Amino acid sequence: MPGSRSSVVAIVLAVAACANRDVETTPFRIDASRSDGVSFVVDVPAFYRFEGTARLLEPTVLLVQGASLPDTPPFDVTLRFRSDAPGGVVFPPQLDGSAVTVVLVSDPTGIDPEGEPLRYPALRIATGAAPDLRHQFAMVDAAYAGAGTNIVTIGPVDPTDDLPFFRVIADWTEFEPAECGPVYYDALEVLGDDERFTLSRGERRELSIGAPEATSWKVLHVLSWHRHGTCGDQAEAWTQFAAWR
Amino acid sequence: MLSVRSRATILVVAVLLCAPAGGRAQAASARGTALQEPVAPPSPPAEPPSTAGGETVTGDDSEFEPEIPSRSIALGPAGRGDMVVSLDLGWLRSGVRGDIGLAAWLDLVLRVDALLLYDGFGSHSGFYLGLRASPLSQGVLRAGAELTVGQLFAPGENTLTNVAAIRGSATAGVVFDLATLYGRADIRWLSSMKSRGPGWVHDGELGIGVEHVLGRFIVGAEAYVWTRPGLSTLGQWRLRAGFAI
Repeated sequence: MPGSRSSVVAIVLAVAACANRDVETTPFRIDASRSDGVSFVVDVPAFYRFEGTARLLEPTVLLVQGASLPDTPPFDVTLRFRSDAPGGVVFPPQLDGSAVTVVLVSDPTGIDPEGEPLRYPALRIATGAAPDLRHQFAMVDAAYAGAGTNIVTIGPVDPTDDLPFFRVIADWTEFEPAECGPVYYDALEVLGDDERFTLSRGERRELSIGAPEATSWKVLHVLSWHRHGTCGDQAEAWTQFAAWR
Repeated sequence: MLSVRSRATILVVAVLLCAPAGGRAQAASARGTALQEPVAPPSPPAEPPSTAGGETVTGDDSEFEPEIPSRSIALGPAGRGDMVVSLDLGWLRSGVRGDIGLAAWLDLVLRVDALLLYDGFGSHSGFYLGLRASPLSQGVLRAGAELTVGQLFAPGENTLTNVAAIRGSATAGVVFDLATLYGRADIRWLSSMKSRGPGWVHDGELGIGVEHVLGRFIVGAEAYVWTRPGLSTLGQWRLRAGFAI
């Protein structure tokens, strides 16, 4: 009876199904484009710092006018990230019309979790000009190697009285059974000047730092993970978070 | 103190010894009727009278133990002094388990498991030790609860991380002659690596299964879902084989 035999085979296959599941990651996909057509992405990882006047074109699109770098004439920079960003992250409205200092990190080898190019792993924006900066926004969207890291490219190395310190804590309790090995969910540790806490995926929390009258930071840890086994060009570890005043 | 199995053996021997004697008495009675031999007066009984089934009740009731219920892996008890060893082969989790009867309703539980089919011993592998109580262990309906504590081990590239685990389980089932049907609900807490003291995450399992007894062997299959707060629920299965010692 071919019919009943095929039914049995189907049942056996259904029972024997060994389903995998990978972690779902939605990068911010930071992008930066210059009005002079020159790319920020060069042969090596680079760290750019430029000043200008910010114009908020859309909640996730910021135009920095009159930016300049050493030995280059002024240009405009359009900074953007995905409009449906996880957690509803947008540029802070107080940036609109303000003089800003932008720190932008580019990496010619940067990849997203699936191994596709992702050239801008981090962005930081402050109002004012050095040395009187007031940081307003930070965003990280980066793959790295290993399990957990203290080197999150947004800096600074140590907590300051204006910007929290971030690092990824490797955790081993929760995982997804991905095709080439488990993907463990990691935690983000946030340090202020007198406060420290850990955020799991999707968690957000406010952080007071600096002068008592300073506006507190809102920190959103979107997702961090590390793999124990990769396929092809998959990223080995990933962290994604945003912080803003 | 005699075990239940020893008493059962004594009862069986007694019944076997009684059966031929009764047969001889009946034959003698038949012959007596034919030969008209005088019937000797009955001698006073040396022991209390037998029950209808030929069973003799003696001794102290305080030593009475209920009969061993139908053997099962999922449902206790194993029986005092007895043991049920079982193997699980499944997706994601496979393992070896031993249930050692401490009392008529209480078992010591030892369990070792790993994500064998998925990743060998490359991800969460662990051991548990605990107790299973089976207050409802007679009759068609049976139920019990189990509490175990243990350690999970997660190997990294050059590390081996251990995670404390606590698991609680409740199981209820219906015992038929042909098969035992059961359902179970588990909840598990795992210590996570929060930077300020241990944090705990939890997950759960909801499953239904069937078992069949073949002498001292028990075979079974179970389908269950692995529920994880904030993460997707994953379907799982396992095949089970046990041996009562």
